[in-house]
Amino acid sequence: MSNITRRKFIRQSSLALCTLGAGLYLNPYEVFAGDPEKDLLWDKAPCRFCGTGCSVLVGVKDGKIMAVKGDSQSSVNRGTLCIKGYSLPFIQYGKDRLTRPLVRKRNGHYDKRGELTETSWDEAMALVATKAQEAIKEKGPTSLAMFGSGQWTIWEGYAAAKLWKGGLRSNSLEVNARHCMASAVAGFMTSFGMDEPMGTYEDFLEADAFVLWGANMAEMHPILFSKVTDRLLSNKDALLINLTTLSNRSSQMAAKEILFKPQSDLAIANGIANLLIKKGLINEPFLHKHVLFKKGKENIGYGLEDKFTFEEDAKTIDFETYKKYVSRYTPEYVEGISGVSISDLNHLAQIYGDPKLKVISFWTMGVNQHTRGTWMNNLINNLHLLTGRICEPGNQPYSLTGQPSACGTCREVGTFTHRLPADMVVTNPEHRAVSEKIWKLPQGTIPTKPTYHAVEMVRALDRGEISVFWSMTANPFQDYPNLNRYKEGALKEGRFIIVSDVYPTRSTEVADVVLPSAMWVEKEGAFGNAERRTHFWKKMVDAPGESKSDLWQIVEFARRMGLGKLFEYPKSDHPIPSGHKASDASESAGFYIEKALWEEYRQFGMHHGHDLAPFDLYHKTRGLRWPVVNGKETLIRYREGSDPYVEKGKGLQFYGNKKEKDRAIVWFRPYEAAAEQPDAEYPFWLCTGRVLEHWHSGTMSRRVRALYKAYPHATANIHPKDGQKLGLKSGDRARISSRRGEVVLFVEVGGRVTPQEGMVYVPWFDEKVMINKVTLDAFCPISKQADFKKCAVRIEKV
Amino acid sequence: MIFAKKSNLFFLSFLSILVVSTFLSYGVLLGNGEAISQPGMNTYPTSPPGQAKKLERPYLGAPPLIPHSVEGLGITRSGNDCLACHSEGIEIERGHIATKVPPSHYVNEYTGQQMKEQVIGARYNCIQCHVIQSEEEPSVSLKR
Repeated sequence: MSNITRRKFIRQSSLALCTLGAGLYLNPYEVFAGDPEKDLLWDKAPCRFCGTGCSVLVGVKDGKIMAVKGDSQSSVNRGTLCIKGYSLPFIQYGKDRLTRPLVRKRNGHYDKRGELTETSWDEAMALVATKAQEAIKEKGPTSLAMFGSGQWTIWEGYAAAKLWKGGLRSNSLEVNARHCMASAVAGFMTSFGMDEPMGTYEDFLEADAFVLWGANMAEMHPILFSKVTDRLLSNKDALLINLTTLSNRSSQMAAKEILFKPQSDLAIANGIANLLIKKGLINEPFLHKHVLFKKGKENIGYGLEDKFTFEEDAKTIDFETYKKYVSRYTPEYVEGISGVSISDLNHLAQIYGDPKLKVISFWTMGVNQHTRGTWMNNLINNLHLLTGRICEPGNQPYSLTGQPSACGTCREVGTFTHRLPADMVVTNPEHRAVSEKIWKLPQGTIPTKPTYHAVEMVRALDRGEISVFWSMTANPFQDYPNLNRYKEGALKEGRFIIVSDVYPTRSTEVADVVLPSAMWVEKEGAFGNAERRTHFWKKMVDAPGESKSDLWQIVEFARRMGLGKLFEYPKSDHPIPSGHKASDASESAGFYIEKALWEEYRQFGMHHGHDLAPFDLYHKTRGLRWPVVNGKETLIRYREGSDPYVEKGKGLQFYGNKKEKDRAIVWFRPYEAAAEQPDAEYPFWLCTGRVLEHWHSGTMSRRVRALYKAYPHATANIHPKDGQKLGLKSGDRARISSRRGEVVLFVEVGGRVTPQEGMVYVPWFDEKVMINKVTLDAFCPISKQADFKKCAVRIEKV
Repeated sequence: MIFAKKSNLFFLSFLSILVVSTFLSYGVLLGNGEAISQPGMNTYPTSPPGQAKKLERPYLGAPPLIPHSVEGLGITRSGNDCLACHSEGIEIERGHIATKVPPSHYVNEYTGQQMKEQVIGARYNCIQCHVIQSEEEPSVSLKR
């Protein structure tokens, strides 16, 4: 572009955009000119964004966040941050921040077809409580649904669980984390009988080989990838293999990028297992001592039909039978399914099998958002069990986590329809009894049956079984797959939608009531990251306008439902904190409610491997990794000397599987095809995902100028050969359609992410490109996690 | 077999158009009659390093933003093109001095190691903190 046309272009675009963007932002480049060390008050907090859980120091002046810096005292990130972390000072200050409750009204009264109108908390909460009571009266408590978040603080999730399961007597509680790591949970539970990784981030510094299974770590977990990079650059023999369906930034540091066809990871993992056996690279004494082999049901379906059910039929098999099953996965057979060459398969088997190499497998959404997500988790765990390469520094299967407290809040508190805190479930009478005792509730209070998992929840909303749907710290009407159906369902008469959030979103568009939330350091909080680290922070600034924390909202709702007693604790036991700002929830309660809830919550995990420390200790540390026994955190679980739960002399003990005599399970799980595959009518695979600069649906990150400008739009990335075939070049407009919906957007040929031929990649952060209208709501029958990575689409130039 | 037949789909899409247009008139989807911004293309500066004007940092201590084209520049295990100019802070063209990598980038706080010539591995992937900026100003198309 010549200089003149370029200047003209800039002028035109800025003119055009001024009208649209005007007034949306607080001057985000408001530069703090003073001396940061002297003029700012610094305090620690975990980053608001991903599951890595970096510690940041937040600099505050005059009630406003002015700066952040990476925290040198935290072993998570040692002074470093990624660009999202550095953008934290701006996430709260978007000009369109919600600051007053809104009720949809016409002529001064609530009306589903009215306009969102500012009102008082009293009026909004009274309406919410009335609608909830009506729903309970008409259709029972299960018709009242809460859809929470892996971005909830631990006590927000805990309060919601206590209120729903112990107070309202409804198991209709789910979280967006179902879309994010339910398969990892189901994988850990079925392989080891206990959730969450056995290792910590410290392990990365000891590993020799890293295998990425469909995880673009360089963009999605940048600080963890920087630890891997550090290891690669400081040890010339260390290597990274990027197993992926699309070329991405993580390949830049890789010894090898191995492209595979979508869904074929199942065949690859079995193929590696088969080669390990054939080459004699398995660890027989380890298997003999620590492992049991099982086989489950096959042809398990895809959950596409409403009210889909699944029941596992697990059988213990012997090693010879297991060998026979995987022997089907010869390199030739696997190559045919996956497109991965025989030599690459051999190379992978060599890496997993070489006793001189310490190996870590990483995975996140590629494996979890998968119609066989639980199976894929099992299959990766298998590789580490077959070789005995597990629970040692540098030898681990390592499940990465998307959200900052998917582990701490959703998995550990158990904010899912079937769960209770500390890996307990509502279907187990003993677990219910323990919970009722801690909650001081009569026996038989907690309902015994799970109701709706996340996808089924919005199906029930569409069908009319759910009347009230409350979303907190989530954006379901941008996030859900097959969105057209569920958005239309929410807009039907008789459905009442409540959205608690900080900015207008695609979900507030369908809301009957919008409640303005306090966020991050506007309240006191706790997150749990992907290495079992629980990390607290204090309230540092006030929330704008009348915004209130989700905890305050939950307790206020309980009070209005006549269930306020659930959140009453002796004031003298937990006096309001004096050393720092008390949260809105504490001020309103008249005691330190976060501490009261925490001390009650931690009773659930004591003495069975989920021990958490007393409240005050967390404010003094950069977080602690559970189980915390006698004030000491645990680095590697199941290993004697590191994990206090391992009995003396055992060496290694998978005590989560007590019923199986402390053995981990190697599951035979076959390759089965995807729910929907490209065909003549819809010839491309669609894969959705994220980009470095944006967080989930962009609610926060798109209001930060530097992040917005770094990646303003979601584009459709395609392979150059497909560009040629379709007559599409970068900058052309295209329509992507599936059997469910369509979007129109711009095409980028190649680029930061370049899919393999026959595939298109579209990130989902952009509210203008609602790609989830196109995606398919198929899910893993075991974990119920939807597959956002695979469906069939058509691409047409428009 | 598991998907709706084509005719049903046609009906459904017709229905969805109907539903959408109904709510448009109520202002549910767009609200207050505001213009919705359109999907776009990400276009980045084309000026090569050494010709672009430096961008103001968002705050003191925030990583500098990239004002120049990064077309053709790469970061791999064997080499890092950013460091060619930025490690020393060389004058690329008269008056255009590349921002020099600060001392913090040579101290490995995980291991305590102090590097002399090479930026530490944890700081090697420059573009996870330093991001290029398109010329567009923010515009989020959601209005309540």
